[in-house]
Amino acid sequence: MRHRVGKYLTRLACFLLGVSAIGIALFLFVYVFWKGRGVISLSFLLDSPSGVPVGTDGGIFPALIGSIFLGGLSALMGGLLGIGAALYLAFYSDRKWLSVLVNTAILGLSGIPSILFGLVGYTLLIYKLGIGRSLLCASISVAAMIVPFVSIRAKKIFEEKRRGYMEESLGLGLSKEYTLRKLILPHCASELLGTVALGMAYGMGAVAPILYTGAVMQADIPRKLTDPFMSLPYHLYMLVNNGFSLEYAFGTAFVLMAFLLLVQLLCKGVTSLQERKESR
Amino acid sequence: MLEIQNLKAGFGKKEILHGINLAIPGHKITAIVGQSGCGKTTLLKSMNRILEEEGGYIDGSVLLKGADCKRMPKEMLRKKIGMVFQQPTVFPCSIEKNLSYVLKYHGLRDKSAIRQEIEACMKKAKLYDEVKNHMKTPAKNLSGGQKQRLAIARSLCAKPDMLVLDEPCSALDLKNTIAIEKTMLELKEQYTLVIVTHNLAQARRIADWVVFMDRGGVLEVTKKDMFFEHPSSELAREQLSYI
Repeated sequence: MRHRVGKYLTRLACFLLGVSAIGIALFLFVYVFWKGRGVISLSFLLDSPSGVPVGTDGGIFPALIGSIFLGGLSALMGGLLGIGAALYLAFYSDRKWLSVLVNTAILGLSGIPSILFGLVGYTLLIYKLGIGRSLLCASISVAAMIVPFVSIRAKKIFEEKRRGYMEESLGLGLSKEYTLRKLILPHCASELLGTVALGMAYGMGAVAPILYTGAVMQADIPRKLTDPFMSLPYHLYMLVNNGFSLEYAFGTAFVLMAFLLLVQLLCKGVTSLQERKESR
Repeated sequence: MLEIQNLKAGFGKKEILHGINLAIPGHKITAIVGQSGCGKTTLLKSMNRILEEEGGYIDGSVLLKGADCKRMPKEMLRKKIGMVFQQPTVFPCSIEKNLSYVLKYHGLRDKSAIRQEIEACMKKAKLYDEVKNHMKTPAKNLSGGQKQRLAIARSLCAKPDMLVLDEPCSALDLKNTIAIEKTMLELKEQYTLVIVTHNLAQARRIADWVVFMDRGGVLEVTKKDMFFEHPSSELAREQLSYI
């Protein structure tokens, strides 16, 4: 009897916890949408911000495009570095001391507060190298922030799922590089893409690393890497921090959340397609 | 075929094999038997230096047809000494691609030659008749026994001189075990086979020579009949009394 009660209580607790996770996500979406519903429209997505102070009228188009550029660039840089580090750790770390060092560096990086990436980016890239507040500096700062995020997850993918393939392949007299190129990377591609997209979403949502390195309150769509740019989270931060317009802030927040959700769904779709292709 | 001289192997400071001397005869099946943890698999993985990929070390010499394996490029060595693992891992693609992947690496480009080679290797592994009509289907849908035979066929694609098999039947039922054993008996005409098994009855059924190991050393290397009828070590006698 006691066992049965325990069993049902455990099930109930798990169910409630699972439902509450969905509930929190749903509540956030609905709440943010409700608060910003007055400004969300097609012109809000496609117009530039206007009004005095700026952002209290018009739209968020440059911020949306700036966020996409920032996300794309930082995902490219951070993704390449993160996956490269994971490949090294999973398949090439013959020297134990070096792999311990790389691992520790990655774990250390993952624990650094995001504002420090902004501060170091500002000091090194803007103050020392004199590049100026720009999309490039902000992307580098965000990329450094997402490297450990991507690396830790990519290493897990390589180690947990694909290491058997490497051993089997080496046993057939094939080289590590051929196995990576022809077998492991193609079959991990969708999962790696998902990981990089998660990293991109994480980076796109951060304000601290771009605060001093590239984001500004008003700018056109960046035409070159050295242009300053607008981004959704920074725009949101400024609207709330300066008390300009809460309704516009919620509208911006909803677009940011919806955009990140869209990225996740797209990646999920790609992963499912690949899985279906493999099982056919 | 393969001569092992004063082979010491292990991981870090832990030595698992303590100076093994052994000669593996060509075109025979040599079964390495012994209790769990005695170093059978380590010995097998030392032969083609897979142990080094797992972070292990190998000291001493292993000579394949007189050539020092340590001086050979690892890929070349493993092409000559193909390996079949305990748990067969099929690659996440079709049955056909599982084999063509190996053939292409080893330089075969012509499509019809690849098809012929796949057919030949699968026939040798006694898998062709069962799967010839669905070569394009994912290999992961095969049964455990079929996967193991696919692993054998894939190893044969590299045209090895020798095949080393690490407990290839440990996860299989009797029917599949017998199928694998039949395959091995036929393969020994063309290849030298070394099989690690904890199953003495299996060694009795298929082996020509038996290597009996204990605690990282070789206690006996004898012809099968000699081993099963007049084992020289006390431990072997004790173990044989259970079958």
